[in-house]
Amino acid sequence: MLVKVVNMMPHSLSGEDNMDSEPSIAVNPANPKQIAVSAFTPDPMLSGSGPIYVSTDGGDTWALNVILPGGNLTNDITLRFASHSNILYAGILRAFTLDLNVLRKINFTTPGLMTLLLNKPFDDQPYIEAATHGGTDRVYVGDNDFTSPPNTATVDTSVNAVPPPPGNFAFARVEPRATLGQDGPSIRPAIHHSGTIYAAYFGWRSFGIGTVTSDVVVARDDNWAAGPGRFQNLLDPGDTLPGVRIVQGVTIPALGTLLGHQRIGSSLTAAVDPRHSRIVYVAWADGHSAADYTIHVRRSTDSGATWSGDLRSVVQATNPQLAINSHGEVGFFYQKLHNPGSGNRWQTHLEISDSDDAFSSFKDIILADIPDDNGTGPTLNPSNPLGDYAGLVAVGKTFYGVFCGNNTPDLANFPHGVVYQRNHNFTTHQLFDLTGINPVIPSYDPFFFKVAHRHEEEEEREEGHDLEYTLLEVEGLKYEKLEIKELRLGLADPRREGGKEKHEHHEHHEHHPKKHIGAIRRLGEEIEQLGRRLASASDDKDDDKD
Amino acid sequence: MPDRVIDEHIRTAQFVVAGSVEKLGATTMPIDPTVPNVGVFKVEEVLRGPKVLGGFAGREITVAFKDTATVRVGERLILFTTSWLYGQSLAVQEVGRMEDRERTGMRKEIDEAHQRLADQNLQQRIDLAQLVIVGKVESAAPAPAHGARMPITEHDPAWWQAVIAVESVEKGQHEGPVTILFPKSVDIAWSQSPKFEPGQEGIWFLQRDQKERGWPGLRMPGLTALDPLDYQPRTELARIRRMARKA
Repeated sequence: MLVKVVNMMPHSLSGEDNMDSEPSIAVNPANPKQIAVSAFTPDPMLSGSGPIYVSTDGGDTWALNVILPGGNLTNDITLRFASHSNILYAGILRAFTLDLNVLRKINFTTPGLMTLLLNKPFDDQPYIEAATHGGTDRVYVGDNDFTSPPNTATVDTSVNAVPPPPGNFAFARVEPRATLGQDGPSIRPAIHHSGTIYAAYFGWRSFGIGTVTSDVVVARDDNWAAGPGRFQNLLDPGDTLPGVRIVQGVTIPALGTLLGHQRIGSSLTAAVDPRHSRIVYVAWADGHSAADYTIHVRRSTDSGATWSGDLRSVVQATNPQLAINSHGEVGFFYQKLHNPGSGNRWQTHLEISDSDDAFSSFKDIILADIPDDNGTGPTLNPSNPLGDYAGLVAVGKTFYGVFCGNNTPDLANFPHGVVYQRNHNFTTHQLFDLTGINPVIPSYDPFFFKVAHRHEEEEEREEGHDLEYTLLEVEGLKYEKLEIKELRLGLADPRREGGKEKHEHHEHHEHHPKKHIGAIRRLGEEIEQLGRRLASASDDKDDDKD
Repeated sequence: MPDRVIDEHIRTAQFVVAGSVEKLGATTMPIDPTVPNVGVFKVEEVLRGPKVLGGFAGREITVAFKDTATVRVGERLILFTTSWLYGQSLAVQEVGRMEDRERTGMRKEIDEAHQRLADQNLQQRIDLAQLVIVGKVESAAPAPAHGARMPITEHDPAWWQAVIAVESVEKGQHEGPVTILFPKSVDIAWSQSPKFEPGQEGIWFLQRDQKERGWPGLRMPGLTALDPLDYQPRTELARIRRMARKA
């Protein structure tokens, strides 16, 4: 597999020394070259608005675009593109008031603030997901809504997320059981394109000494959470209440417990297989203290009704993230503290398991192995240098992600290599400001990564030849097994322009079979999309039977 | 006599540069083609801006002009700008412009306008305060528990209280030591609020039962100085005293 790691701090901000932590990532499914990332990065000019990181070349280069309202930097923030509309959505806690805002921007690289869709006054950790269906964008924001405790785990849902506020949002309390007064901060929605929406959360049940006792719960809605009785479609066999308890009564260290320099206490993630809405993975962390804080990965193959035992467990690790690609390969991201004898370090992993393998075997890609060292510079949030979460998504077959870490430019810290945009010297392990002369102290930066199958990357490069097909004809299509009798592909010939053959620069347009790969890949994607639509229709039928 | 135009521009411009218009309809970095009125500007001097962008003197940047009909290639300008894109290069949005002129005087005028803006911001904080005191922190300790322990959140301010021996009261009325609350938390929500330790001296602008920051459920009744401007070093006393008289 091809692994790309990029330090995202732009060249123009080579002198930057903030603790840019807690990242999230959004990749536009309609154009994966368009990627947005958030982190606790203030606007360097302190204009009164905050930035996100944007890339339009698939993550090779990055810029900050100042588009977030409410302060020079936001508090918690997550981002998502809807699947077809190209619109970027954000869930943020505004600076100062901590009001939860849901925002959108039609073109994420242009100037101008994001448009407000929803303002809520007393919610924590907005975690956003979005999809396009039936011509509208559907947005789901998991958040811990304190306005009416004790059942605080909530998913704000809109099946037509357009201004003006409140953006057609409705609020679904997904916690039906008694709590200790509230639920845990992490509420994670996961969308399947058929309209099945999962929501994983920590149902906090009682206090311990420096701990809480919690259930890990998954709720489900089978119709876009569009009607009344949202997230009621999955009942626990024990108490028949909505939401299956994957585990009950696990111990979780109190929020603020430190693992190395990083606070822990609410690590949770969920992902649904794009091929089958019934296959869903959840990962969470529990333990009595930092010493035994352990991430667990489990899977359900029956829409959340029953769950496997631990497929993976990783001790002294945080920020689990799961994503499943179009082939059903599962990506499991985490950051693990270890000490090889030279001090604490954060080892950032992406494990990839084959679809049906369920982590009985997997590839383990170490993206970074970085000192757990906050540096000596301004420490904006010293107990949260990595962040309370990181980011991982899959678009097509490719995994895209983001994590934060110490930015010392040392190639030994990046087993698969790294690209820095900011001024640096890999030999002396120094950063320099824009002049290239003055050293800059190490701090924390976001790092983008992309993990692709080798042939995909090669095909993408071949697409640079701009060969496109002009005609796609499909003859004889069978639904059940997607049996296609005949395909005809008309390739655009770059030697022809206006019906006349061009002879100049002929040497640049030699026809070679490899150059068709880009067009063939796009053809494959269209067929795959068609297959997904058919599978989705089939899933809908299956779900009806439930 | 303050230049009102500069004062107006400085309110919304954080990056002020002198230089010349190099190209119109061109950019120094990839820019969405739908953005109108872009051009390339050669920066000769950064007259005002964050330290991290100081290295742009001598470089070309992209400017989204208010309009390009009134700009000529080769024209020398002082541009008042605000944020847009920070990438391989820099792209900024024009807030205002002036003809380039003698730089020493211009720098002075810009600095003075910026100082007036800083004074206005400080005056605003003093106006909002019920009590302005000069003193020294005698002790700092966790605040007594207040009400329910909910919500439990990573954004909990972790309230501490500091007892300040008061040397003088510059606004409001008070006798004896003052107990104030401050967030010990270094979470992103509170990391920029001033923290206090015994022996620390300074000037505090104190609001009673503030409603500016944090969810209502996280607030505690009492005196607080939560904005970075609400705590000032003693060296600012003469300036603050003048302002407090106006409040």
